[in-house]
Amino acid sequence: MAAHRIARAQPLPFGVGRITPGWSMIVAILLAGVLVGAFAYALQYTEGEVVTGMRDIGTMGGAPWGLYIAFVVYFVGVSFAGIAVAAIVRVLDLERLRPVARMGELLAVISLVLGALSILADVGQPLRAIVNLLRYARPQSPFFGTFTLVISGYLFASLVYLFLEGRRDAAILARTPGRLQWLHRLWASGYRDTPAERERHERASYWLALAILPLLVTAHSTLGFVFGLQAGRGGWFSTLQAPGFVVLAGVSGLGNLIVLAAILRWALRAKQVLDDTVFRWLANFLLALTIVYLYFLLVDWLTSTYAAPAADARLAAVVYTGEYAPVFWTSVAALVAAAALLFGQFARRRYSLALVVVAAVLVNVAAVGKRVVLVLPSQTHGALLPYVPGTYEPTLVEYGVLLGIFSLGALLLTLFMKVFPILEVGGHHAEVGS
Amino acid sequence: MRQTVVAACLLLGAALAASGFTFAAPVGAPTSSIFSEPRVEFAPGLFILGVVFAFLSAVAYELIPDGERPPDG
Repeated sequence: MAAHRIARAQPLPFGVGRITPGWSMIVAILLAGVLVGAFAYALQYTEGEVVTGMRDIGTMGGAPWGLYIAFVVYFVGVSFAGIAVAAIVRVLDLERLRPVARMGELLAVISLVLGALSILADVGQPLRAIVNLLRYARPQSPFFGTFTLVISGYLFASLVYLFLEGRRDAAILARTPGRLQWLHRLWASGYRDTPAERERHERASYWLALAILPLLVTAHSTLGFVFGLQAGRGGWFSTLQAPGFVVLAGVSGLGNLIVLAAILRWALRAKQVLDDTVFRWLANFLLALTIVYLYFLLVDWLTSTYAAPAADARLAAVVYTGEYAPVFWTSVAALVAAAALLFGQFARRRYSLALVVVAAVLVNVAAVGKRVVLVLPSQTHGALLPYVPGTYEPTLVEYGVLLGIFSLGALLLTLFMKVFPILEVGGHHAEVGS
Repeated sequence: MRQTVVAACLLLGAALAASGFTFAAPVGAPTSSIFSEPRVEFAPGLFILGVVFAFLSAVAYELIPDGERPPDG
């Protein structure tokens, strides 16, 4: 009886199950954001997409893919680094990055859900789109890969990975009586941390991670091919699209992971777990990928301004010196500034968490801008037929829906943290019973 | 038991994914509009189901316990 009382008094780690006023206020704000999004989407659904800034290409002088599609690419990109880091930690046994592994898995799952919601927001009749996709999708189209591999296969694989990696911590938490015990028992699903179970988990996770890594590259490449295989529109047809998507996905995802890890380090007072070494590793990875992406940008700029076909040259002028130049050069400046910040720290071998976070935010600003510049100009200015240039101006409805989607993502993350530890509880070698 | 279920999951997943892909892809020279649609309705759904089953094998591998061995002696 006494032992039972002691166990009941024992708090769960990392604030799990503890509802604080600050947390409640954050949830209330995020719920308000979700409601705004739901209202905006209801308006779009009932009135039709005429309430958005999206219009047909050509005769209507618009762009049918607007901010929603730009953010589909962004969200799917963010998911890349999350699960990639988790998988690499397992395959290469990178103990240094282990504290961010679960964060990465969760970030991947939530980002993919948000990406799927952005697609549903873009299509006028979501239910019809889902059913017809399952009925008629053709493997010849890169959309097939995007929807089957990215949205379903990769999301399911990430969920499986998150579930299996969390079983051990769930078993540890299930020993503490409380309101969440049933959930932790369910998640642990009989895990007892015997040597045989550990060995089996190590083996399963290793092979799962090995299967996920090529799936990631394939999935992101198919998303790149959605644009990169379209020769009928200036600016999209390029061999660099697929690798560019993979690399920028890594950049934006790592940036998000760094920001999230920094927030959690402060909020959960987890300086010991998320120590400076973790951020140093993430910063170095981010620096490497940012430099590779800057190289891609340079190559793309040289190619498209040297002797490109007429439509591509026209589009390059619109992007580099015309209507989209402010967004493009802001993105480039943000990437260069982030690379300079990270390289300065790498060269001096002295890292400042604040500067790493600033760089992480900058690469995300760049990633959003670059997605916008990728999606829009080819529609408004890339026609091969003699149409006048189109325009696209997002409306409040689109901003409202996106606010709702972002708020939902943050809300899912915030709720998850109260039912399950977002950082590993026992450490790699700790005992479940201890 | 565990090995059987895992193998069945993997094989079923691979078979569903392969058949879904094949049924969704029109094979041959595109001579009519029939080549624009999957040969079997919901073939892309079969492909997705196959991928799901393949990854479920990892869950089966971890969750299904080893067969109980009788104690020695």
